[in-house]
Amino acid sequence: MEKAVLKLVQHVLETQAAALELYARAWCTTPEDVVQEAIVQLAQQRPLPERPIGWLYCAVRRGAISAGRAESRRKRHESAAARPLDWFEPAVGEALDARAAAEALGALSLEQREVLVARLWGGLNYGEIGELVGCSSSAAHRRYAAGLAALRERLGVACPKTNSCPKS
Amino acid sequence: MSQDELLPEELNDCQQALSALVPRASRIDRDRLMIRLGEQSAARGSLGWKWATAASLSLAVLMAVRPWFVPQAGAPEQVAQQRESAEPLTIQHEPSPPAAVEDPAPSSDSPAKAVPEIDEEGAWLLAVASGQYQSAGMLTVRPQPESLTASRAADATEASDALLERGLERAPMLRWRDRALRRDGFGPAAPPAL
Repeated sequence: MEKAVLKLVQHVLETQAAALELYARAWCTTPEDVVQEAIVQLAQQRPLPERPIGWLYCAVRRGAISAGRAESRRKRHESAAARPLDWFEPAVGEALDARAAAEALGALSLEQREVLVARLWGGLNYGEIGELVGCSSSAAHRRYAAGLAALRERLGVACPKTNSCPKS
Repeated sequence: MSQDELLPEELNDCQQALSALVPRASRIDRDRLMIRLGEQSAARGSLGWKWATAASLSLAVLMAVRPWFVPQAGAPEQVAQQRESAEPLTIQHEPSPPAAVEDPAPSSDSPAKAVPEIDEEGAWLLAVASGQYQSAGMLTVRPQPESLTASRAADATEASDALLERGLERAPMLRWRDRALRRDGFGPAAPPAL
């Protein structure tokens, strides 16, 4: 295997694997397999994509949707997806409870959820998210803002600057 | 991040709080993934050798089968077989019309190609080489009034000398002539070194 591909795979595993799995969980209950398959597909690309992270999210999205359909056919998707999952590492000293955040995130619509995950934990910009979900960057931004607002409402995130620390 | 600045301040706080959460560690088995990548890489690398092997094998089979399907006109072996099957060698020339082999692509603009003519003394030699030279359009056979046999080898030698003078002689022709002369009891004991 070429060194560049190996370095890219290692970089993806270290920085993006967890976020990609979280992203794939929107559609299926076996995100590890989907992400692994996407990484294998990425390594087969010649030449390598210009933006491999965006390419990976596209591949994971396709694979997760396919896997979710297969799970639906097996009548397992509904029960598995309804289970509360430990999507985040247990938060220590954080403002948000990890399980509550996961439940709130899972309750969002699919469009808002995938934009939020891709932006917050994937680090994609709005242009890449627009390409990923098939909309404009402005629409991606609107979805993101709407998702954040919905999460804030569900989680009751305190905003010290606006509530307790008004601008002088 | 320019569009992030457009977010309301309360959403910015929510965004920061959410981004502080760390997704659960990946469950991807690195060893399994690396094994899969190695398999893929090995499979891709051996493809070229497979194609090269298949191509060379096909070429070898094609070249082995080709002689059965493509006859080689004027080959020395075929001429020798014809010579042995028709002992004594007798060349019967039809009185008319002349069996002339014309230039395959004559052109009215270009000057006519000089086609040499062989006298009757050269007919024996011509019989040996006719398969090759007639097919190439290099010789024109004039009608001969009588049959010639291999016993007139001396005349044939003279004819070959005449051919040499005209620049038509070729080394294979001399070899065939001498081979035939030895078989019939004429000519030198050993072939001349060519």
